Amino acid sequence: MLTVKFKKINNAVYMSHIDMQTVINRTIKRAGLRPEYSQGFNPHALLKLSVPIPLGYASVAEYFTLEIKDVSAQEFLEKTKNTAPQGIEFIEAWDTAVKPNLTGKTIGATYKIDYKNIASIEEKLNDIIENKQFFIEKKTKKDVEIKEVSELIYGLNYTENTLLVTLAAGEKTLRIDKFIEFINKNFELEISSVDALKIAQIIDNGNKISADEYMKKLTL
Amino acid sequence: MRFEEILLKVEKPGRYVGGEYGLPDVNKPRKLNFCMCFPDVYEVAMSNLGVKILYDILNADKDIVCERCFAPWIDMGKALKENDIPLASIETRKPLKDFDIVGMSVQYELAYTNILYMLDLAKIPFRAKDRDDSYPILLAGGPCVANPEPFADFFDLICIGDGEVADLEVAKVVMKYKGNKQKILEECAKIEGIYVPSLSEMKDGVCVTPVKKTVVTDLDKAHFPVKPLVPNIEIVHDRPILELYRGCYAGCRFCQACFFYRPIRIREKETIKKYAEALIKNTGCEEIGLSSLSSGDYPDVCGLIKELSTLADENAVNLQLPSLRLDSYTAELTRKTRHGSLTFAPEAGTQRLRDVINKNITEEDIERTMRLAFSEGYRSVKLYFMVGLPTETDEDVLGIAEIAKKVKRIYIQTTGRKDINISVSTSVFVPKPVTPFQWVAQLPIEEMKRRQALLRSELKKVKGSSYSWHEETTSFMEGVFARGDRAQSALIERAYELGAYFDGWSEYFKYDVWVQAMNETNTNPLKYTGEQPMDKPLPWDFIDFGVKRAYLEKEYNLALQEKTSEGCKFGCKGCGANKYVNCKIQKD
Repeated sequence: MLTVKFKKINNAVYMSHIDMQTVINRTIKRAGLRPEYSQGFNPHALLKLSVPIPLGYASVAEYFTLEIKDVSAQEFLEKTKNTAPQGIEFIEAWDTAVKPNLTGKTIGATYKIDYKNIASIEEKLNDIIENKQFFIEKKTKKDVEIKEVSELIYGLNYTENTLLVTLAAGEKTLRIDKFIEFINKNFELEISSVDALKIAQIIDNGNKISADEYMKKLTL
Repeated sequence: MRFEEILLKVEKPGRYVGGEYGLPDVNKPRKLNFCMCFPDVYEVAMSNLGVKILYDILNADKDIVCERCFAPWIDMGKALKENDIPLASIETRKPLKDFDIVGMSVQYELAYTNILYMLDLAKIPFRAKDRDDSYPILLAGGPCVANPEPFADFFDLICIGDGEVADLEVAKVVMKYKGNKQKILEECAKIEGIYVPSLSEMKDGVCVTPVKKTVVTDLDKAHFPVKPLVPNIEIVHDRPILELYRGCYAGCRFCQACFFYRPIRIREKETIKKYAEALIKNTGCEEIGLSSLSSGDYPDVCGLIKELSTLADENAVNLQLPSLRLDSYTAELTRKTRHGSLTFAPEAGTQRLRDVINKNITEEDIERTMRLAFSEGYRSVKLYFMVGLPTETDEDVLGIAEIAKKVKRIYIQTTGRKDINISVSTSVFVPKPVTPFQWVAQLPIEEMKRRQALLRSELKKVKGSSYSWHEETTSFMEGVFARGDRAQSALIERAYELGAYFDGWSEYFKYDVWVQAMNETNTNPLKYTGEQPMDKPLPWDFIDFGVKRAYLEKEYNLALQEKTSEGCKFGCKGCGANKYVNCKIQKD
């Protein structure tokens, strides 16, 4: 089984999670590669995308797994070099004997937010989280539900103009757009989706490690 | 708000950002910028074969860069206006106004207001006469050019017929005389197929300057996009298309495409196979499709499908077949391309009326095919008909329900079961230019409603059947424009000002707006939907389509006598279209 790490940047950020499945499948087929197909009435490629990223957000750490025969990780990357649409780039691949179950083990996503003087909100934001005052609105079918989600913020790291934030992703999720919406509203900032970039996916494998580290261990 | 921010607020932002696999080099040095436009949304536009062909041809030219721009959906249109962002191309976000040529493919009458919608958003004046040398040359094409008069005032040039050759010639002229609109128009008027409304002479409201339709004579050698753009979002027909042939052998008297696209030009089987292989490889798509007016009439269609499905199987792609004419249906095809539901279009409910429209399908054909289909395992049938065909009586309308009953009977006989699904759909007949029915009257709206209601009540008695029908008012407006004249540009403009656009999307079609616009512009719709005198020139008579008016008259007279005429599959019937090139006649 192959696990592939890819970038989704520039205009590709406007592709939905569902469309991504088709886009990646076609990229692989254009490379002359043939994924394994499910059996049954409506066969589909055994290609599984990891946790979705909200529309409009860029990432350099997206993952999918793929059942494919007779292709090494290296060959896969070489063959698909020029077959992806703009903004999609396969950057790393691992060949493992076992299923990595990346989606099941994913617990978080780390985003880098570049914004002028972002570090100035540090103290106040820490207070808010400590006092469990981080509220987001969630639209349900009937009305708007307000939820306190401090426990879904796993880590904050500031330098002057950059904020690294790790948010829950997987079984429990705090979407990056909701996070930004909150700090924009509370601190009168104008951070937009283009200022944020997903840089890592976090796995809980006993320890919290990045998906890349996890995959490297599995490959060894 | 910046454009990037708007993208996050609208539905399906993927419509506006491009980046598809297969993009040409839009940064190459060029002498001409062409923007290919389509007055409907991305998903519809990108499904259009004509757009794909022309985009490919233009970009293949070393001196031309062709980009795309499609009608933004309502939410995006509003946002562009509110933020004063002019409509721009997908590829480089260059405003439409800055192109040398803006081409617009006009596919259906109800898209006319969307032409104005796009021009409005692009800040380009609607009428050709109000645009000076600084504006792009506006060029129209597409099937609606069979009668271009309703929108003629909006365009500088209109390409009548296949755009493959003419569009390139127009581009060369514009390249040469850029900035001198008058000279460009004069030179383009000399190109076969190019109609220049502003230079044409009008007599009694009808254009009298002759224009000859242009055709690609050798389809087999014609340019075909084997590396089309592969969209990143799901589109309407999300598969690459193989065009088998242009023109049609059948000769159904209501069908504009049949007569407009003659002569019949075939793409050879080997060429199609070669293209199929390339498309599978270059797009990576899950499915490929076939396209032509009646694919079942392609010479040796079974042989072709057999070879294509082998190729498809080898590459793990699905071969999607278009609906086939009932009489060309064979068990072999059904088995190769198993679908959930069988689609048939008898078009009329009785043999008499089918003879009138020259739909050469008999009751026996229907029975034989149904028996075959049901024994092959089909449980669901879609039947397409038209209401309001010339000479139609209540008996013909009720005949549609009779066919549904018969289909059900055959199902029970063949399978011993009753679990059939029959869905009957009717559209309303719209008399179209360049057909034998171009003179006949369209039904008044009230009569359309009455006949639909009659059928509805009769079909209620057929358990397992469902009935859907076209909205009468949209068919009526389609009828108004189909045989419209130059005076209608004022109507289209007024309707747009009053809020009509995306009329082709039934949920946005506002009939009351059209009624108001017709009142305010003194447009009598019945002038266009009523019977047209045979002794007077029609608004599109200045166009030489190849098919002669006398031939259409002859076919019309046969229709009135309830007589069929054999299609042209096995011999030329002398319609006149073969003056371009001899139609491919099948000798077997």
